Formats: sequence, C-alpha cells, structure tokens
Amino acid sequence: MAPFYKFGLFGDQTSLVIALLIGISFGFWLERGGFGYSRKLAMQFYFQDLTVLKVMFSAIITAMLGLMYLTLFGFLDISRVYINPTYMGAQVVGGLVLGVGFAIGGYCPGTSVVGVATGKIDAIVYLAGAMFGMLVFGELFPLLKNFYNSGFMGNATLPEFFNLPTGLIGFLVVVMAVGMFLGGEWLERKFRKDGV
Amino acid sequence: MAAISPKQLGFGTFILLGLILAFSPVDRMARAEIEVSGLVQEIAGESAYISPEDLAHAIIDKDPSVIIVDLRSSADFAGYSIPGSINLPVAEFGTDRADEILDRDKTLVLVSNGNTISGQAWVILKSQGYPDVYILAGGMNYWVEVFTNPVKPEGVYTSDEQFRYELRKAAAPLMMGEQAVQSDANTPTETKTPAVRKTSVKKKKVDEGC
Amino acid sequence: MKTEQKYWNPYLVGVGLGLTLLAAFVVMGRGLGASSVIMRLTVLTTGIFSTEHVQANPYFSEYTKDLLKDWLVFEVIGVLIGGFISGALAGRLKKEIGKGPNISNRGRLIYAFAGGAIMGFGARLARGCTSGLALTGGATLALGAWAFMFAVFGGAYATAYFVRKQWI
Repeated sequence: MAPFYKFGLFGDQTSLVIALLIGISFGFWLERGGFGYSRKLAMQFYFQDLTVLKVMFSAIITAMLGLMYLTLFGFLDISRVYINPTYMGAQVVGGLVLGVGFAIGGYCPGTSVVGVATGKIDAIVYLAGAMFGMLVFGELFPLLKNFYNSGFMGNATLPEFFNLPTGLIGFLVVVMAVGMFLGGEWLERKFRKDGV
Repeated sequence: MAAISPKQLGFGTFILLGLILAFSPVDRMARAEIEVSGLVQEIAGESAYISPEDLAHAIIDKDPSVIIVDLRSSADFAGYSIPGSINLPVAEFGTDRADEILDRDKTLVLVSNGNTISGQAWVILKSQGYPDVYILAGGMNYWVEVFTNPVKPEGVYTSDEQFRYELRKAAAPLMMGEQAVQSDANTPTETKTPAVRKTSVKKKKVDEGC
Repeated sequence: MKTEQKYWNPYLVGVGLGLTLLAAFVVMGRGLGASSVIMRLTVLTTGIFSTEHVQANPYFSEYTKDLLKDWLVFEVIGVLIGGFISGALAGRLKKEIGKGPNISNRGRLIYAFAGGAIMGFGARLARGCTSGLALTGGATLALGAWAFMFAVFGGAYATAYFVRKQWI
C-alpha cells in the first residue's frame, strides 16, 4: 500500500537516499527539457517557445492521472498524500509577484538549481537574489503575518470547490491541458522567429 | 508522414485516460482507504456533534470522562473559554503535550470558533483511531449565542424546546460568568487516569512542500 | 569540442517529470520542491552572522530545526547532480550567461538578481514555487495551487513586455 513511507516501510535515513534519487531524476528531466537555460524559459512569455507550458502541464496531468488510477485500483491511500493547503489571498498575490520575478529573472527556484549545475552564471546570481528576497520576507514577516495567513481554506481541492467528482475534474484538466498544447503550438507557429 | 503522429497518439492517450476517469468512482475508492470507514459521511450527519446543552450537562455533572479541548489560539482562549476546557491550538497537534491531553480513554469534545477547524481535527483524530471524539456543534460562536442570551421560544413550541430554553437560562450564569470557580472544580486533568493504549502519534510535519 | 544536442521533446520531458513526481507521491506521500531549500540556505547564511537574530525571528526560527537534514535539501542536491549528468551527456556544460543578444552581461546579471529577489519574496508569501506548489499541488488538484499557477502566468505575461530587451 502506498505511500510507502507513510506506512512505515522504511525509515528517515532511507527517505533521504530516496530524496537524492528522486532529485536526480527531477534535475535530469528539467535539464533535458532545456529548463537550465533562462532564455529558453523566458521565451514562454513572448509566445515564441512554449516549452514551459507544455512540460508543466504534461507533467501535471501525468502525475494526476497516475494518482487517480492508483487510487482507483486501491493501491494508494490518497488521504496520506500531502496536499498543499490553500491560502487564497497569499497564494494569488504571491503567484503574481513570483510571476513578475520569473519574467525578470528568467528562472524559478527549481530551474535555477539546474542552471547552476550546468554552469550558468545568471542562475548563480539569481539564486543569490532569491536568498536576498527571502531574507527580506523573513525580516518583514511580523508585518506580513496576517496577510500570509489570509484566505485559509484548509486542504481545499478543485473537486471540493466545484463540487464535482474527482474523476470528472481529472478529465476536464486533461482536456484543458491538451487544448493548451494545441493552442500553444498554434501560437508558436505564429510568433516564432528563431528557435532558441 | 504516418497517419497518426506520436504526438497525436500521446494526446489521444491522455484524453482517453481522462475520459475513463470521468466515469470511474475515484472518490469512492479514495474514501474507502480511510481506516475508519464512513468518516466523511459521519461528519455530515449528526453523530459527530454534541450540542451545547449536552455539553453543559456534562460540565454541570462534572463528568470526569469528558475532556473539552479548545482548539483556538491561546489569546482567544484567554479571552473566554468554556469552564474546564483545555487549550490546545491545532498547530500543537502531534506534540508531546497534545498526546498527553488527547486521552484515548476519554470522551473528547473539540471546540473551535465554528465547525471547520474542529471538524478537521475530528477527522485527524478519528483516522488515528480515537474512539470517542465529538465536535461542539456550532463551536464557540453558537455556544456564546446560546448562553448569553437564551431566546424564549415563541408561539407554539414543543415541550422539548421549552425544556431547552429553561436549561439554557439556568446554565447561562454558570457557563458565562464565574468561570474561575467552575474551572477549578472541574479541571479534567485532575481526574485523569493513566492512558493504557497510548500510542505515539506520528509527528505530522507541516511543511510547504517547496 | 562536443556539439550540443537538441533538447528533448517537451511532452516527453513532461511525462518524465510527471512520473518522477508520481514516484515521490507513491514512495514518500509528498511532492517535489525547491524554494524552501533556498530558504534554508538563507537561514544558514544569516545564522553565520547572527544566531540570535535567526532565533528571534518567528519565520526564520521555523527552519532551524534539522536545518540541512531535510528531505528537500537532499532532493535539491539530487537536482544538482541530475542536472549536471544530463548537461554533461548532452554537451551543454559551459560557463555562460543566458540572455538575449541586446543586453550586456552586467545588465542581465542585475536583472537576474532583481528577479531572484522578487521571486524569492513571492515564493515565501505563496508558500511554494513552481515545483513545490504549482507542480505538486497541481497534480493533487489543490485549489490554492491552481490559483497560484494562473497568477504566476498572469504576473509573468504582464511583466514580459517591459523586460523584452533582456530576452529577444
């Protein structure tokens, strides 16, 4: 029965080895997709190279379908899987801020690590910047605390929010993703000047 | 060029897998995995809740088997609390102190401002195998409403309604004022017996996943 | 000199990443992440200068327990290794600055620092970044994660025009 760790199949020490292995796979695939190179990532925002959109949504629907099928077959206890809690106010504003940083900085925290691994100077500088930003956040935390906790909705999920069956939401997400893939390719053909 | 490109095949597979899911009982399977079956249905019904009146009875009777766990912040708790209740903010779940307070042999009554936080705590405790856990119906908001200003039932009322009103009126001074006297006489920890089946609650780390 | 290989098909990469994420869910019951490790590095660095300062701050002090013996820290070390392996196999390991042709190196690095700072702030506010919140929460259909995801794209597209000189 999965998740294995939550059922005590191995201890904390082993979990760190697993962390390393999963991280290696994560880093490998990010680099394969070109996520270690800021310009490739940033081209997303000029409709010239929608790799970010394609990779992100195919990853999300792959993992989501996997979770749902494993649950359906009784192999996975989804109630033991971590679900990010929802703090609507903080997450929407945080997302907007993060998006601004993405367009300016060219990386997100995960991809900047890959950038560092492949020798990108701007990724190193970006990481230093991220640390600075987090330092500022920590210093301002007492002021931001109320907002940081705003819009708390527990472990709300899309099926609960829309009051639809999980399977149906899954299907709609897949349809939306494939629609975005097709739309994205159309945009690329329209905007692309040179491959990056 | 082939009739169907690998990409079209991939997109088609995704859609097909999604379509199958749309007609599959994913929710039912997810629920079946919760150890205490039917938790979700139970919390929607009445059996998970205790009314303010019933709780007031337990307090007046000084029932030693009832532990009232106040899940609000310590500041709120200091402002007003139900006589004899113990403050345990949800954030402290999983700590040693929480394990000590949450005695599996007792009847636990969870109190928050409304029903939401206590409902979540209820699900956590139930899925950890706590046998007797109840949510104070309506939480502190309703509790205060009931006991500060009991409303006399108007027009045609049943004897049950009349009885509830009498109780609310009688219990009001006890519940809302002079709580120091009450809580002294009724601190559940005093009568606590050592827990027999105390198993360590696995520490649930609250991290952000990122 | 080795020639750089082309990047793999994005959909294939997506499926690979998705399976990695799924493996994390199945084995560990949790998803991936990155930004909280940067937070830990920040706390570590700040702690070098002033331990009291870290302990006094309610936000920093949350990270001081097992500062580096953390699941995500090991995961990110893995990301470094995995990224390096992939880059080495494809001949993409080289010291360079990712940017468009119309901006100086110095200009790009200033942008990188500023963007990093803004993103670092946003990631802490939102309790996650693109991997820990959008990807992980997206797959588990967390409501806040989806709202966050569209906010990220919204913020980025709104800004893109003003920094186009940097990339195009």
